[in-house]
Amino acid sequence: MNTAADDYFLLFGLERTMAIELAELTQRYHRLQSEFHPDRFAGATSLQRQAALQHASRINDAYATLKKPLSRAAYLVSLYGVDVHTETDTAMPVDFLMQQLEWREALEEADDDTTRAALRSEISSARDTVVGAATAALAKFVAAGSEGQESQEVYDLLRRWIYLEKLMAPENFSGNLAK
Amino acid sequence: MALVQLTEPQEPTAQQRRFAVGIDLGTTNSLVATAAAVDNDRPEVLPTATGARMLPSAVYYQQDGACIVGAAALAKRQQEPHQVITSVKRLMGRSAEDIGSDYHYHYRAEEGMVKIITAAGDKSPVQVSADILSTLRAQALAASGEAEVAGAVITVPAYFDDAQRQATKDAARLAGLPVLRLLNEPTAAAVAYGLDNAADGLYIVYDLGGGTFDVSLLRLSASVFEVLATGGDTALGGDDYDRLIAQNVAQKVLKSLPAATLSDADWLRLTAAARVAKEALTTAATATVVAELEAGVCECEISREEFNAWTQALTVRTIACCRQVLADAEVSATEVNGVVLVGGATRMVSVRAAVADYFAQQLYDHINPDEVVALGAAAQADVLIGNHRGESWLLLDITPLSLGLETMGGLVEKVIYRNTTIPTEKHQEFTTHRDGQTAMRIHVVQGERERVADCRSLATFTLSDIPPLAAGLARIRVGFQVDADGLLSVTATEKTTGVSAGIQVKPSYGLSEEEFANMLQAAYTHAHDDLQARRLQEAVNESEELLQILDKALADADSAHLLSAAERARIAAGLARLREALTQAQLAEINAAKEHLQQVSAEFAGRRMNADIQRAIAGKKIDDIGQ
Repeated sequence: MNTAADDYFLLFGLERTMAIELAELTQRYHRLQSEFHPDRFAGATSLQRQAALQHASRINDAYATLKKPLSRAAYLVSLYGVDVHTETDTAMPVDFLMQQLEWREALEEADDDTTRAALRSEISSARDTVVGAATAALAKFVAAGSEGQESQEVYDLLRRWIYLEKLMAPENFSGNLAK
Repeated sequence: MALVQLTEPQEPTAQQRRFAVGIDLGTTNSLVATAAAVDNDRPEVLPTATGARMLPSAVYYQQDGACIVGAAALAKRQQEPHQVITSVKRLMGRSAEDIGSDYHYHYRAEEGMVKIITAAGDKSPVQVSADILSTLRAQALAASGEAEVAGAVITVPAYFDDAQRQATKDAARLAGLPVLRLLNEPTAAAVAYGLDNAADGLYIVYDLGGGTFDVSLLRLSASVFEVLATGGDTALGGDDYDRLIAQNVAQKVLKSLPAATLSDADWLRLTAAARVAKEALTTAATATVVAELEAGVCECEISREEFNAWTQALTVRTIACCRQVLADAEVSATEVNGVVLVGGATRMVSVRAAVADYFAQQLYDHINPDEVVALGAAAQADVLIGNHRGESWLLLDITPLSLGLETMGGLVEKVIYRNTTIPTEKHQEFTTHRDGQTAMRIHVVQGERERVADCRSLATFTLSDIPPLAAGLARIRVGFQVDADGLLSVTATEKTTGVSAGIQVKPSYGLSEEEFANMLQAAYTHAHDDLQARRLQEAVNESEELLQILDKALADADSAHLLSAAERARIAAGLARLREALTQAQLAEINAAKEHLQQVSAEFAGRRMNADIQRAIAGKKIDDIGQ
């Protein structure tokens, strides 16, 4: 049985979906914290304060997880027992890895802002394509429940998303990459 | 222990307002303020006996153990420079190695936190800070006519690490001040400004104090102050500007004399004169450093240009911190709606120009930058103690530094990342490496670097009582909790047996429980109080509270289905044991029985918490329908 404390979507009173409005999520987050934050219990007994501490920690973690699309997606599939953060799994399609390698090399060799900006928009659009595909696959995956066939497809797309997100890290575009 | 249902927001219960204070425990000066003494909730500073609004953070110890704090202590400095302790904030949670040679008083280089050698014996920075806090409390009571301080919010630099925060909290406990909260200084300042100017948006708080620099980015929206990122340098402040002026003046004027021949007292006089000149430069284009040194009078005119050239590197460091904070929050300087200036050092023309230039935004400085932190802390104290009428606000702060664990090869595995909203709790699972292993050590560090040697050691936790199993079978779930004060605590449970593992904490730079107990004992001996009796009373109070709450929870019809018969029986046995222990009035057994009861009821507490949140959400959904 999933309770509100185990399911971050339930905690915020939201459906299990990728389509979450950040403003709405933030508003619900603030409302929950207004109720449970330890500061509301400063004069309460030590046990009440301890309880508030646990509640508030949970709510903070839930908000941080759902706030960003990638961690939201990873969390969503984890509710169905799919773990996309396994660091031992480095098996990716060869063409995908080659493309990654090419981008990394191009970034290291880029010595002006124009080249970097062009690369950034290229990688960013590749990322957006993966995000779009992953979001659609996730919707089907959730609709089918844990019994569905989509789990491998979702897994592969999320793994690509994770790689591309890492490549998008601001330090890769700062122009002082360590060679 | 979530046995208590947290459905009702706390209501102010007291008919009369309780006296709560906000304390800015500063490197150079300290302040105390309250919002409880006035009718309109507006915080105000409580002055010293001589009417000064700031108490110099200086302590002078006499041989008989008595101490003088504040301006009177500073006055002793000319004669006995080594006996007057200043800038003790820089020593909190720090070792002799960390401090370097900039300090004029003598300290003892021991393992862990440094000890200062005084006429009244060796003093921990925690004790010195406690003496400042005691003076502030007396000052607050005298100025307000109140009998006792019911609670205090004490501010710390946002960039303080766990050891520095713990040392500050220990100092308050030693001074007998009930701490409602440790509050980050920039957040306190934001509260003070937020009360005045409640426009929603992104704000930078640029806080350059006497000894520390902090910068925080906050989002203010509908009475919620949400810190998005924070950065800073706990060893950079206005004092460093003074020191650079003194060094440059010494070079310029005393070329004939090698600088090394200046005595400690000379350097103090020169630095004090440098500070006067620095302050004069905020309104004049030139100023003169005048100091009477042992070799004669030193007089040197300096211009703003010279001053800027000497100190530019310091200001540049603060702007670099600002840039990092914006990058962390993925916000550009143009998105910032305003910059709040905090700390006396932000009066420097060069600093203001650099900040205005970088952010190109309105600078907020209409609240006295020396007082704004104490005023914000006082407002928060008033809310926390339950005095505040009308709509209150919510502060969501973050942890400034990542927490990590030492792994193989001296590397760090991060558990909680910096800029994570607090409170927060993360779990990590460990296993044993040898058959029958019953104990293990976990080394917790704080910092951003990858190697343990480059991070700051916080503490070593030794887990014991692990059930002896084959290697790799025991599964120990370790919880790392950072509370709203930014303080770390660690819990451990063996998952297969569900038994809490024992934890012994050895703080790297803080006080051990034993050291703290000794200091507390000394403080009580001084006050002719019985520590043992007090501890017993505390244990009895906590036990009675636990019994009462459990009785209530067990009687609650809504939670009857949350417990199996066996669980219910275990809790009942635990209740009986604690009741029996209370009749015997033995401290050790009461504590053991209390811990045991908390252990056997922990699962129940967790289920109650789930039910609790569920109920809160159900309530929310009804609200949503109504909208």
